Amino acid sequence: MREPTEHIYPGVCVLFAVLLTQSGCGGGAASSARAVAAPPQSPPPAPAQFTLGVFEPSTNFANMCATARVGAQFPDSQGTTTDENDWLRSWSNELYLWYDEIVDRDPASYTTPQYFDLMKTIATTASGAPKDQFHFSIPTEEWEALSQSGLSAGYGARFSVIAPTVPREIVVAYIDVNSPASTAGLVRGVRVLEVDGVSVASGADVDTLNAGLFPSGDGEDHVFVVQDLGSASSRTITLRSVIVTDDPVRNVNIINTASGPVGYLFFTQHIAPSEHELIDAIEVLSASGVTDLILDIRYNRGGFLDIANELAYMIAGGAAAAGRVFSELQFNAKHPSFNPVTGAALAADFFHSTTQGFSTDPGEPLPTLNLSRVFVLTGTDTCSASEAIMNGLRGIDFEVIQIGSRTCGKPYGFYAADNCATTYFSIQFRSVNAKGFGDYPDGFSPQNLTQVGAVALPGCGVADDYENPLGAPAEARVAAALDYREGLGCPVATTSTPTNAHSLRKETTASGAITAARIPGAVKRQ
Amino acid sequence: MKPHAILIACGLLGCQSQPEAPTPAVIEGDPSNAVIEITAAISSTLGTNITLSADAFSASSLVTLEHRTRQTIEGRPATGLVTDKPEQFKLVRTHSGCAILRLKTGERIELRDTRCRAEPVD
Repeated sequence: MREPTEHIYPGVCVLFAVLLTQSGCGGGAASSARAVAAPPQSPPPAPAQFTLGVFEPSTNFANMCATARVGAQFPDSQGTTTDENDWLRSWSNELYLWYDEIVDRDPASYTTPQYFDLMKTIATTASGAPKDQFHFSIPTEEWEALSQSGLSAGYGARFSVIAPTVPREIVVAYIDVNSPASTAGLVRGVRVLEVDGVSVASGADVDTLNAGLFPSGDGEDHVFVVQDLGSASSRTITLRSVIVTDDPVRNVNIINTASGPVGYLFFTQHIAPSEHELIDAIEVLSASGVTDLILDIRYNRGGFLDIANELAYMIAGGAAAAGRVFSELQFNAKHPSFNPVTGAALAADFFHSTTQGFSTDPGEPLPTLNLSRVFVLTGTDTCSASEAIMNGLRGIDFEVIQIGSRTCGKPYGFYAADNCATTYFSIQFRSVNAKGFGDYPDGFSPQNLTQVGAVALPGCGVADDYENPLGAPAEARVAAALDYREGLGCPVATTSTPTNAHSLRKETTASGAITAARIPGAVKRQ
Repeated sequence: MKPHAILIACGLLGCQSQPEAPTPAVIEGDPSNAVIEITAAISSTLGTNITLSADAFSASSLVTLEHRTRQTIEGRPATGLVTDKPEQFKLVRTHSGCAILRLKTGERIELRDTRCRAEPVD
């Protein structure tokens, strides 16, 4: 029985219907969501009076817009900026994970973007980082546009933002063959110095940098100044964007060692096609009889939690994981029993032993490796569902050995919410493992790094190695995993600061070339 | 049994045509025009713009659609932990031609010009 203090938000459900498969709104069709007609015109209600700590239901303010869109497909009615802010205030109070840490302010005193920015906690984590780094909004039109899974506009290059603030640092992490990037001679490790005339390191025009690095469509020309590995000089190239298809499982390899074959799996996105590709990869690794797995998720920012769940099961196997809890969602204290958005009863998610139908037929048994441990290669791009693999496996006492640097620290999720042509993303739940643990806002970190606030895991701190191909036994993080596996311990930690950005800077020569963290002859054991 | 005997038997027994189960299918021939037709059909159904690859439904009967918010230098996350299932569409062959199935709702969108063939089984 539902506890009397818990509420589902039907008005919100209508807004969320476009996003949810199994919403509790009795539908989920986007078209039906848009079919909601604007309410008949009536005298505008009297402005809500701001009373500190008193909140009307958000439904009282939903779709009351300072600039109402015209058309039957829009649910908007004429309102004011204060109405929009009132909706944000009440919606945040209902659903924000840390709703009781929001400072309550008069909605009439701010623009809507300003007010949304205030609708979050200002607390910091143990490392001093903002507790909530994942609070954002985008135009609803941009959010609603859908693409075939894996498709995006780009150049066939994955840019790794090593330092997002001045002095910024951006390098090419990997490229696609037969892409504009490959044609332009970009390879892993190339540094991006300028984009459309704006300095990456120090430029103030971030919009221009973003527009060039992450184009919105195909056919866009952008001018880049880049510096090749080992080169003291730079060169200028023009890249034209195309629609590229991302390959989420890019490399599956067997590394033969004296103590048995070791599998290497480079996994970059938890998108729908990855389900099928991961199954294929695990079948190959299983057929090869691998005795260990190096799972490279250093550039994997996450995605579908169910795919993380499936991969974790395939690594651990049925004996270790079947019938065990992989994760459980926790909402704010007002919602201990029910998902306040879908209305579903909150329950643990068990490890999936069968496919979930993202890119396969649902219900098919998953192949397994039945290993007793996994080596994960990580970096600051290792986020969200990628971290959930690690946390989910640790929840069943499966050994996770971390090689690389600190992960991003995002055990959180949200349901996008539309109001007045803006789609808002505000943290609403955290995911915990079978032990009830989900408190890693400063990420996971190899234990031999000094990372304040991070959850220390067995393993080695090793900076990214841009001189060797990903997956090669000589690549620094792969090599460290292989050595650790042989009982050789760790190389001297190559970063001791919160991000590998700083370690990379330390390793940047006067010429600008990035040297590998793993320097032959300089490797020490601990 | 001869044809006229079948007709008689049907008349006596009240024959009903059995609805043919849709067969997973892929586009037959040049996919370019078919992709245009399917894109328009799905966009109309969802009421939003969608983007398909040039060879969508050519190798597989299933296509999954996802939100694709752009990355930013500041690390704007497109999503957090994603717990919902995406929109999926399946190309099927029916007795009357080709259609797109919206898997979330079971809605069927008949295609006028697209030609398709049964999806090869692995």
